[in-house]
Amino acid sequence: MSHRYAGISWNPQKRAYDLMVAAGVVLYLVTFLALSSLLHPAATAETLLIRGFGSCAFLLLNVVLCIGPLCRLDSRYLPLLYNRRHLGVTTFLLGMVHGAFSLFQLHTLGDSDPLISLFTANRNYQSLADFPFQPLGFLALLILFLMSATSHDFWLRNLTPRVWKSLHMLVYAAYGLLVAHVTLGLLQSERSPWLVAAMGTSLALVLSLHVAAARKERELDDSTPKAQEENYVKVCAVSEIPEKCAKLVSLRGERVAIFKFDGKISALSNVCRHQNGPLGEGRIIDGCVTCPWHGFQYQPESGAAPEPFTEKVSTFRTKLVDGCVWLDPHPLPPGTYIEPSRIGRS
Amino acid sequence: MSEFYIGYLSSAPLAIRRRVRLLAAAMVVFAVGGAALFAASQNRFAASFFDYGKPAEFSGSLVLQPYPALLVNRGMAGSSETPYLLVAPGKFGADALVSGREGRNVRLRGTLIHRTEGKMIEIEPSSIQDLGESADRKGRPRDLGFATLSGEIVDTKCFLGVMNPGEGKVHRDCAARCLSGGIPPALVSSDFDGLQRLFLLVGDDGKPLLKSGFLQRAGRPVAISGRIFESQGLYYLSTNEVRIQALE
Amino acid sequence: MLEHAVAFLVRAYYAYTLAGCLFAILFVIRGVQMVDVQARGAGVGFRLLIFPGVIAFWPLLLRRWFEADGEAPAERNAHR
Repeated sequence: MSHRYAGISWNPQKRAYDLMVAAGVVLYLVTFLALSSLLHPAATAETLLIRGFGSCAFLLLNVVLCIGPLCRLDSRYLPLLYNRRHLGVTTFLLGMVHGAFSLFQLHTLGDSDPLISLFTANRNYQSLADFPFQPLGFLALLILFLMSATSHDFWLRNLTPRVWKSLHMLVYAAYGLLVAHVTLGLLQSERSPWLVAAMGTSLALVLSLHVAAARKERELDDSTPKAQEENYVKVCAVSEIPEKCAKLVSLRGERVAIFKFDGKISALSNVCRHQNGPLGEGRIIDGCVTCPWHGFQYQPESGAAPEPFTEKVSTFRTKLVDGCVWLDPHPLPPGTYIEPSRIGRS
Repeated sequence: MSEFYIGYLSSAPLAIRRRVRLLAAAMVVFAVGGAALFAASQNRFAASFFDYGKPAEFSGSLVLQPYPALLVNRGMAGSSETPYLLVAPGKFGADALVSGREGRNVRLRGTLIHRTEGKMIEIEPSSIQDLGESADRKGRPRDLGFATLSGEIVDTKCFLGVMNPGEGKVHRDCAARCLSGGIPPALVSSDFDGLQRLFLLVGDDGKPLLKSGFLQRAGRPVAISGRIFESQGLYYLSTNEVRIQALE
Repeated sequence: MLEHAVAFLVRAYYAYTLAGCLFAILFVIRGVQMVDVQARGAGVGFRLLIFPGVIAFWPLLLRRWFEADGEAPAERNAHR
């Protein structure tokens, strides 16, 4: 949104968020390390650090993955999403400490390059139980690195939001790799059923939240409008749209947000220029459509961000017939001004 | 109308603030509970030790074959000698450090690695002082017969204390790296006399076993058939590649 | 066989990363403001934050530097 990049645009909410994340991480690590050295005096510090940082990163990744679907299901969780990128970067940094320690401990000071050793020390790639699990962790860490390294908005703009989003969807690949990494690694040598249960619970939670959110999304996409005449499709009754909010409609694979405000109706692309956030779940605040994810704003009539910002989204023609909203499904070039349809004049 | 959150405003609406506070409290419980659960459910750690940062002086007579060891006499005349296996720093065996000194009395500095199953010294390179020919006569190896033992192939350095756990699946890659670098390989088994013992693996000719035969079998259950020897307090299992069977 | 293939890939990875590091130093000092107008006058914090990403995506940014017009690349999707 800024017209000049800053390292991190700090604000009170971000500070509070980061403070909470840092406190949580420190609390986890201190509890684990203190309790482990108390219960297991023979354990080496390296082993405990590797386990502490690795498990913390994995748990945090589970949390990160739950935030998206949780917000789709209940908008009160949106504050978690606002600064999720810092949570992601924290996950990577914890994972990197784990990875660096492990690589040093298990593969350096030997007769081979550590990275070559990582992939060749255990060669039972054809076996499931003996599968080399460490390369899986390495690949997951590489994905988390690419995501963290591109978390600044500079990358969103320069890789384009679509490429950026695809890159960041790789988090699911990383998650899969890490589930395999833990299952084929630690869970093969530890005997406690609690660890298996914890793994199963977190996996089930992440999956069920995603299924629930996807089901909710599908209901929306299935409600494609039927009635059609002269390039316009009938969308909904004006009364169905709450004031200063939008009704979503799915057209040609993308969603359109139809906003009602001050006795007027305007339609915009649902896709925020920032991180493809859902504009239609936003509000009209100070006369501007405000994205629920990071607060990016657009004028409803033109789809253009207020000065000095330059983001623009597509607009759509609307008309009102007998208290119903009709929409021309052809997107106009981003930023095109369209006179809003006035309620009570049709 | 439900409340709407905008991150860059200085404070969030009340209902959202309450929800976030609740979440924060839940996260604290989750963090502490998760950490405690993991800490408490780890396997028992072996009582194995690496006196890292505390090197000491050792003197005794050197044995080079099949694996380098230092026989330390504890002073009392007639008392048996304690064998200390020798390794180099990192993931390397000590062969290069002690070569040509078979049967010599030496004094050396090194770091002690110890566990019930045995003792080992990580030698500081160039700390070895030659004290002359050893007067001790080596005893003959005792033949304890042919047997099939099941257990896990480990690299003795990590198993005896440099890493904890120094065995099992997570450690397997490191075991392969260490064994490849010449750390003496051994089978950990309690099949012989009920005590968990280390059986250093040697070939049928009594020399170090070919690495290709066991490198990829380290860190998982195996059964090995061979002749068991005892020599200077160390146990050996004389076998070959074909007689190492994977167990599941 | 595995050893050779892995050794080749790992060396390629090292070379790519080393080239990326060298490129990234130049890029965050000189290139970034030519590629993206919003980076003009941006501070050290921003330049350090994008550094690791430049190492990863250096061939892409090298091309953009050559074609530099300061505008972000156009995105294509169903609405644009």
